[in-house]
Amino acid sequence: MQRALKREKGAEVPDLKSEIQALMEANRLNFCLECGKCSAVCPMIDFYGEYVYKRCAISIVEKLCFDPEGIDDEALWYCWACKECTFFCPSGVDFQNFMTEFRELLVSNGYRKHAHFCSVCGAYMMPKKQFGYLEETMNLNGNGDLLLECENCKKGKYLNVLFKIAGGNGKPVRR
Amino acid sequence: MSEAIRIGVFVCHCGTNIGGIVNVPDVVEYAKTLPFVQWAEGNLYTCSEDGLTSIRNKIQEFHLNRVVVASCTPRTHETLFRKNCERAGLNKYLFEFVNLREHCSWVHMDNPKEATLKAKDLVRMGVAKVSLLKPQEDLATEVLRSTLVLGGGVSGLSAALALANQGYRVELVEKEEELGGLLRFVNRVFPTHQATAELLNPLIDAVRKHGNIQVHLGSELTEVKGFIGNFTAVIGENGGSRDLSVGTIVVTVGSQVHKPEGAFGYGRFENVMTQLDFEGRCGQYDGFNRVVIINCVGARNEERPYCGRFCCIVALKNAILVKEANPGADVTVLQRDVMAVGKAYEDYYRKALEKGIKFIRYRKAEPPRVEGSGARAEKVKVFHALMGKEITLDADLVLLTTPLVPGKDNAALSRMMKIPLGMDGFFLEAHQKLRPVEFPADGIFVAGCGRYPAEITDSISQALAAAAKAAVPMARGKVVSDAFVSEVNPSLCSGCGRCVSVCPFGAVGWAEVRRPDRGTRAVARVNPAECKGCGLCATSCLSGAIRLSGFTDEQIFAMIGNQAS
Repeated sequence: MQRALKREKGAEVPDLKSEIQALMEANRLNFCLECGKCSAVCPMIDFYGEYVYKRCAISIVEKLCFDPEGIDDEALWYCWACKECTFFCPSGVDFQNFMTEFRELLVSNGYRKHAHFCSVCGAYMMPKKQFGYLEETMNLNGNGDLLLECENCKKGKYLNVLFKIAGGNGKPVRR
Repeated sequence: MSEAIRIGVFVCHCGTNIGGIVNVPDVVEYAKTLPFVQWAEGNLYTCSEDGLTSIRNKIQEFHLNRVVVASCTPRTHETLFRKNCERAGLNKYLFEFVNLREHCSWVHMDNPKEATLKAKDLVRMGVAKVSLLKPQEDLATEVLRSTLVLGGGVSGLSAALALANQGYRVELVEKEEELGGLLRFVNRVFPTHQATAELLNPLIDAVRKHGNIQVHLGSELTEVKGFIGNFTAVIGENGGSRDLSVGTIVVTVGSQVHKPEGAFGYGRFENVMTQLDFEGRCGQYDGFNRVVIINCVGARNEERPYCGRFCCIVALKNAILVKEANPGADVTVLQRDVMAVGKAYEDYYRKALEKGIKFIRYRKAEPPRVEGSGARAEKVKVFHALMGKEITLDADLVLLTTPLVPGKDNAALSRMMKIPLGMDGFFLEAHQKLRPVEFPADGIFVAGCGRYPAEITDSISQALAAAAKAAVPMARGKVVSDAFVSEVNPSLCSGCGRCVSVCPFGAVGWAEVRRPDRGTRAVARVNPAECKGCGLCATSCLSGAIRLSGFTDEQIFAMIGNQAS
């Protein structure tokens, strides 16, 4: 596929394309038979009212094969990586793994606008759509802050507290 | 009638099939009261050894010259009971079968009293008819031990060899100047990717070398006369014509590849071609970077609702060969279902997926559009059903996968040999499930793509089957046909031709008879060797000129007259 992508991404584009191709091959995306099982078990239909069959796993696979302009599509960030599709696929397509790695690839290539990042370290946490959905519910419960930091940063906080308890000289205080 | 009629009636219980509903002893007693009945008895199973022996004994003991068995269906047991009569020295056509099972007990299971009354009616009718039956002889015709194989493709070659190896003479008639049929133009076969020549040439060599096979190249069939065991096929050969005398005919004329003139830029763009055209490039699979293959072209639509059966695999084959020759090429198959039905074809499909060949499903209502400039196609636009939008694929080669369609000569051959064509234009076999390689007309068989698109394995299998069936009458040396055939009374025949067209077996033809005043006129004539005694001609005759032996007007009227008690 030698069609031109968006010009502003410039020289990075060919690499991104071949990296996506490599990812697709590694995860057997080209074995898709269009049986539709993945879309049948995908829980996203229940979550997003507008999430039609066209947005499901099977369609994302097709999109990436034929529509490189679609790389900026929000629908690529809907997937919750729950692994149902991978489980049910008869052709051995590992969509969940692909999706996870694919998103990391997109982020590292500057396609950040649909993703939500840690406010402390800037690591990718989850799709913005997912964040928006969780935020509403968790704010009601008062847990909204949990969404702002990635696990590593939260762990870092606990470790700091632990070190403080330890007295700062590395020795635990005997009680 | 030169001697008194002496009838024996044997009523069967058929276990409980009849006896459980019809009061058989009652029917037996009733039968004894009927005119000309000398003996009546009931049997548990008349078809058993006991039953058959009893019939023979009673024929001898009571000097019976007519036998009525009232039991199950003649479809299964008529031959058995007729032969049994013959064994006892009675002409086998002096036997009448009354059906008390399918026509009585089985359909009136809830009304035993009425069923018994009906059984008596049926037996009375059978007795009335049997007294009007006359002794007759079977008709035996000689069968020539030679076959005409029409068409020298893979089916014809296989059938010819199978028959020749069994010792029969084969006249192989091929209209082209060389043997091999469609396969001559196919480069490699799926799924092994062998060169077709490896398969075809040994077959052709074997046929040419075989002493029992006479090959007629550049010859077309112009006329067929005769019937099973004695066909005369007239062929046009080398400018002249020639008569071939054969006992059986195997039709292996094949079909042709559909050329979709005007569709998808075919004929307009030089890089748009059918799969067969592509095969003609003889192994040149490299040099293409963006190949788009469009499946179901001219198939599975209003004009041609059938599926070409193996053209999907042809598409897979060429896609894989192109991709193997140039792994960097973009190969996309636009399909409406991938019919990978057959031994190891799903694996073949998976192999194509593994190689990175892409498959897009398109809808029948939105076929792809091929666009280009000048004489070259450049793009293919297709509505991607799952994405919900139209995408554009660059293309430097567009392959159209088309199905096999009936040959141009099928209609003429159908008329020549009185073999039927189906709605799709291919030859129609006698029964879709049970008789796949023969026609209703005896002695003519069919195999290969002339019957329906068939891949090499199927073609060879069918050819061997047709050869096996053709060998049966030739091995026996004669064909025995039932004596219950139709006969035309020329003095009553008006020459309207209804019977000629209505006969499903092509058994009614024309004959010339002298007119009392001057000249001749044409009347219908039934060939007793081909007639199956179905009675359609007799029914269709408006002049009452046709008489069906065993079901004459006199006999039927006697039954009708005896219907009501």
